[in-house]
Amino acid sequence: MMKTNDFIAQLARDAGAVRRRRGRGLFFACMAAGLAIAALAVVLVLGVRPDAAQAVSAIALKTVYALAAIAALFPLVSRLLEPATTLRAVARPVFLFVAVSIAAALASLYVDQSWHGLRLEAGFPECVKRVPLLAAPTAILLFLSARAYAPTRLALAGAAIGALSAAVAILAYAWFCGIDSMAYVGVWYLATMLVSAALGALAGPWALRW
Amino acid sequence: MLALTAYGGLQPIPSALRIPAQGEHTATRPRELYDLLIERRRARDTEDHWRELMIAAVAGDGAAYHELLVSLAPSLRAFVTRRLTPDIAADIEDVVQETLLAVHKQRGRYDPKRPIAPWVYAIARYKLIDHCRRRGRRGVEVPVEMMADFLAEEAPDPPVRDTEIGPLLAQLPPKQRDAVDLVKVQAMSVRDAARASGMSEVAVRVNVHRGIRALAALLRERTE
Repeated sequence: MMKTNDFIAQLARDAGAVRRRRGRGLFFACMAAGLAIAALAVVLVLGVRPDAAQAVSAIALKTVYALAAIAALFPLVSRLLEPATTLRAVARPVFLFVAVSIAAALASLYVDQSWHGLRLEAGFPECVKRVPLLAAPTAILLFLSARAYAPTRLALAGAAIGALSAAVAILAYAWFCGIDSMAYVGVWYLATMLVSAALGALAGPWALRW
Repeated sequence: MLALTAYGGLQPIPSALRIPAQGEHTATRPRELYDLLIERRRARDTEDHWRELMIAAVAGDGAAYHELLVSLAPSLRAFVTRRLTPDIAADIEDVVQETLLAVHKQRGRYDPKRPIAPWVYAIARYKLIDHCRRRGRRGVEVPVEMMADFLAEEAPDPPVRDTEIGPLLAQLPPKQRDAVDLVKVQAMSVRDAARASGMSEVAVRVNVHRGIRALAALLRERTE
């Protein structure tokens, strides 16, 4: 085996100036492409909700929810793409988002004085299956582009990418889903992100190796 | 006698380092030398040193880059050695080289605003796990990074006689000698030393480091 000193000399010999690559441009492009695919799936497969014109405020609320999730998750994903040991600062917005989501759901349930907002009587909420499916294209693109970076905690990075993909998918899903209760969004949309995060955590260790 | 340690607390100087010259009353600067030798591996200094080298390297300074890699190698070796069981000791250099290669490939993505030692050791930890997974071997222990990870582990410094520091210091190139003298012996802050010597603060830091390394090399020559 080559001696480390020779190896170092060889690395150093032809290493000139390097362009500093800090951008997340590739990542944003993947999110945009994933969103386009999810939107197409909503339009062609699921179908935009027929009352979309009357439900503008509900769709807007869900869009804000998804954008907030993306804003909270992006710094975490971004940090996990580089060799990192400290996550406390970037994890805080995620915890805050989860707390606010649950608090909003509870408040809505309390105001209504009814569990109906959760649609428990309708059986297992479909969105928990559909959103991760819609998120899959985004997740695959993000996983592929993540390999150009240097993630060192693969399960965590996979989980964060999974959750981020679900948030992107919710942007498209908002145009399909006909349930507008705050409690439903705050609990089940959050659950879709958790399910996606779990799937991402399972995929991360083999999908993100570099 | 006390010395500032890497952890920032005051600790007694290991007695192994204290060999008083026989029959000599040494009014020279023994204490500064001990502080110097112990201090030179302080995590913060390593951090500054590596970061400055990395910034220079990314800007195209090949010599700084070479120095960085040479300086990383023993630290990485110590990091890896501590985590591999002895029966796979042969893999140590593999992991060290894989880590250096990853640092090489990723250096354009290093953010100078963030500390470099955790960055490097996170890569090393990843490459270590990856290596063991590929080999399908057991016996790796990878605890969460601790402060100690940011310190290089080397053989303890050989004992030094008090009187040796003066002549040794005189052997250094003038810039290094001045920087070491101002910062380490006269205990000035880097800023004051920069003002006093007319060097930039970065130059003072770099010269202190090079000076200390040169001193260490000279000492090693003496003892061998």
